[in-house]
Amino acid sequence: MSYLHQPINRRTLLSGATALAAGSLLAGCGDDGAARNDNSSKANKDVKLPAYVPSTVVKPDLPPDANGLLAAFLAYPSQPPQQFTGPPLKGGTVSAFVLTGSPVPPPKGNNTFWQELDRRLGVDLQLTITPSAEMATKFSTLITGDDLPDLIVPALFLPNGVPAGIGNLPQWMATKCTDLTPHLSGDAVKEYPNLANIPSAAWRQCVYNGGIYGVPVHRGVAGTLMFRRDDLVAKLGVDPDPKSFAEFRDFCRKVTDAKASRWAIVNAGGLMHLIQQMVGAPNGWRWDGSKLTNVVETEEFRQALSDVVALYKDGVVHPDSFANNAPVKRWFNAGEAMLTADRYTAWPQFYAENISGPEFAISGMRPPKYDGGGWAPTWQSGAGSINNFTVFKKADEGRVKDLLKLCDYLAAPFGTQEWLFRRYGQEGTHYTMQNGGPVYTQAGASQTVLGIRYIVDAPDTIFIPGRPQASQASYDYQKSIIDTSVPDPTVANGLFSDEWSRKQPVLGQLVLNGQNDIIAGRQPPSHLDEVIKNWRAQGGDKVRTEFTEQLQTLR
Amino acid sequence: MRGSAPAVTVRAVKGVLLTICCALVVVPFVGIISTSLATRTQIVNSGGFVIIPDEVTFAAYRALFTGGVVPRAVGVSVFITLVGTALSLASTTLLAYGLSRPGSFAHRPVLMVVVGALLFTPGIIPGYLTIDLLGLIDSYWAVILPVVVSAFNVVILRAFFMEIPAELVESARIDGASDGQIFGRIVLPLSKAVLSVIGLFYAVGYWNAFFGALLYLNDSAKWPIQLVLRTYVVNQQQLGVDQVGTAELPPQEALQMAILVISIVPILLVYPFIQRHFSKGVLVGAVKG
Repeated sequence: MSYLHQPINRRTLLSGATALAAGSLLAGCGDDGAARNDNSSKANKDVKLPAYVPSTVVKPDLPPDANGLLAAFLAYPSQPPQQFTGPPLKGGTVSAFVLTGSPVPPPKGNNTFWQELDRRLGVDLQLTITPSAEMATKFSTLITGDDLPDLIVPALFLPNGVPAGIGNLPQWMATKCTDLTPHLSGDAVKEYPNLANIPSAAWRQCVYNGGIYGVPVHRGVAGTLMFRRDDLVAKLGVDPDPKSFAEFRDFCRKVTDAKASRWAIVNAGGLMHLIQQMVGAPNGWRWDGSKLTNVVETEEFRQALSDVVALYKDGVVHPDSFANNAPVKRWFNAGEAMLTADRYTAWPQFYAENISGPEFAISGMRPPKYDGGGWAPTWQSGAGSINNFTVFKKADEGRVKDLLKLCDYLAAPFGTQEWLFRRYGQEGTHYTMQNGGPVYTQAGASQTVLGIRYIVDAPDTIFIPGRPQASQASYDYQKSIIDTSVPDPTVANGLFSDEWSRKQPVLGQLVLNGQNDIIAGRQPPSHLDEVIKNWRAQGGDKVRTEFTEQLQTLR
Repeated sequence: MRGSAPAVTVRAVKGVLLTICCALVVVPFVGIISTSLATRTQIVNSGGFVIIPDEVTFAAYRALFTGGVVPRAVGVSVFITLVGTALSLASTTLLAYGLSRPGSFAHRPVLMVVVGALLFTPGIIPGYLTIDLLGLIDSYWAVILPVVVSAFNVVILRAFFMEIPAELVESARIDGASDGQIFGRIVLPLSKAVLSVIGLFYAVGYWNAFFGALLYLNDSAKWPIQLVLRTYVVNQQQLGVDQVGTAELPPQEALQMAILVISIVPILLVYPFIQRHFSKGVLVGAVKG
């Protein structure tokens, strides 16, 4: 379909927002795909997911489990096995639209990693590398121009780390992308052993229009946790594991010493996250079988907010924490704060950037139940068990098979030579082995960040290079929380709300601003009522309706 | 106004105010340069922003210039800026001159189009479609051509040209000069001030442009420095596991500040040469519409 024949509606004309503009164009695309366009949750539920055949190529030091606990490695296997004897493809070009959160890598001409990758894949890999902050804009124009690459990463990261889709994503996929079901569903995936090694939960999130429309980039469900500076807390002689909110407040007061530039936590947002879990607030949404309630609307949220206000007044939060782009990781690393909330994937980064020497030690602080009496369930990642997924442009069967072979290579599991090359490049040039883990050289750090890890990836693993005890701590923490952790019901059920995919950033910001205003004392606690009212009026109620309809069909 | 000097207190207050104003500009600037030269330990300890480095290290600059990305991007930006500014100046001057002559062909409709362009700017999607239809995706021209003529500058320049005394033009014509000669030998030499200002506007515009490049240049090898800069600065919160084990690298803040310095310096170098024309130039059109 040519874009010239697409209807242009009022919104396209009036809206300056690119995402909306793209959405309207997508609405145009959706029209001819209507026949296959059944993105009902029932159609999606009936899809037979790819069989899960765990890889036996490398045995992890600490095993994974079915609930989403990740495998862990204390050191990189000293003799990494080689999975592929030759390149998966025989010439030709493959183009991909990928995102990156890193500085742009050197172009192929002076990027030996990229050149070697081409050689090992057997193709000329052409990448459109897009900074994740600009993803929405770039993706809109890509769709508008209708000149699609072979592989496209359609979901995006937002700066606050919340993944969101694009307006009318299912309809667009139905018209423009390949339904991979015949190639991957059930036992068919066994032709690609590394794709079969990806857990089923990750595939669930690639299901749209009653088919499998993408390959996932798997991540653990552990999500955000409260990192704690164990080394410093121990020095201060404070009990690192409070057993109730009252004890937690006591912990915060004890570790805070503003004169010594030391606070309990880097920001109030992290506190909010932790205390909501203590109170038992729902992860994202609460579904009681008939009514869907957003966390913001719950009494638990109100309770957590008033507690954070109290803690903020206690002065235990870093005073600069409301600054935009506050370097909270630096503060945590510098010992200015004992706690910071971050994704579990930040674990290795804290070690890599630490300046406190060998005694630097961190672990996760489990939220206790508010009134004591055990641990509170934690929230699983808002993105479920994936980071993103990648769709294939419509192509003939042979081409699709080739692309899947390429993906199979790119999903080679942790511990293999292929994984090591894909992530770290060639030994000597791009990395060196130190203390059982690869460490980038300068060339490696800049050349390897092509964004190919966002096309497809091996199942995520816990591995902190050169720090076996840290890998163990990360694994132990996950193991302790994973069985009781709760998912967001909309994510766990693989629901898609068009309104949510468009409005999530706006609604999220609205709540965040209101929350910050109340915590910082710029607004009274009763301001929350207005925030909720606005949230509902600006799209929250519509999102609720869309999700509720789907949840009801699943019963 | 009386000739006597203002009271000491007034002067002191003025001095303090000016110092504060200067500090508001200078401190961040010094901070940027200092942070780019500081060590990891100092940056972490000072919360990410260093005013005076304890120890000077050029590691950030070395890292940037050895990667190959930054030198190339600087080259691209220089090319886009030079070619773009030259084209912009040529087309803007010719258009404005044509519009400033009373009897020129289709004078009114063209002027309406120019003024219309001031009021209505095309959106991202129509812009992209046009570039796509012209086959300019992934071409440097896609970054230059859409912004080659700025209606605002045309209006300013036209106002200036209209103020040139008609007698000068008439006397040249009596001496037998053609329109081209009048333009080249009489009008342009009289317009040096305004041209240098408009040239600077254009040059800064091209140098700072990143959005067009983001939309139209898929091949990151063709990205100008500002887009590369953005990937360093904007993505800072998302530097995740990609950067694991990069302890030998300079700290992220130093890299960011170094690339800021690299992106600011060229414009800073050009500024003093144009500055003397500046106050004169920007007043053109301020009082004469």
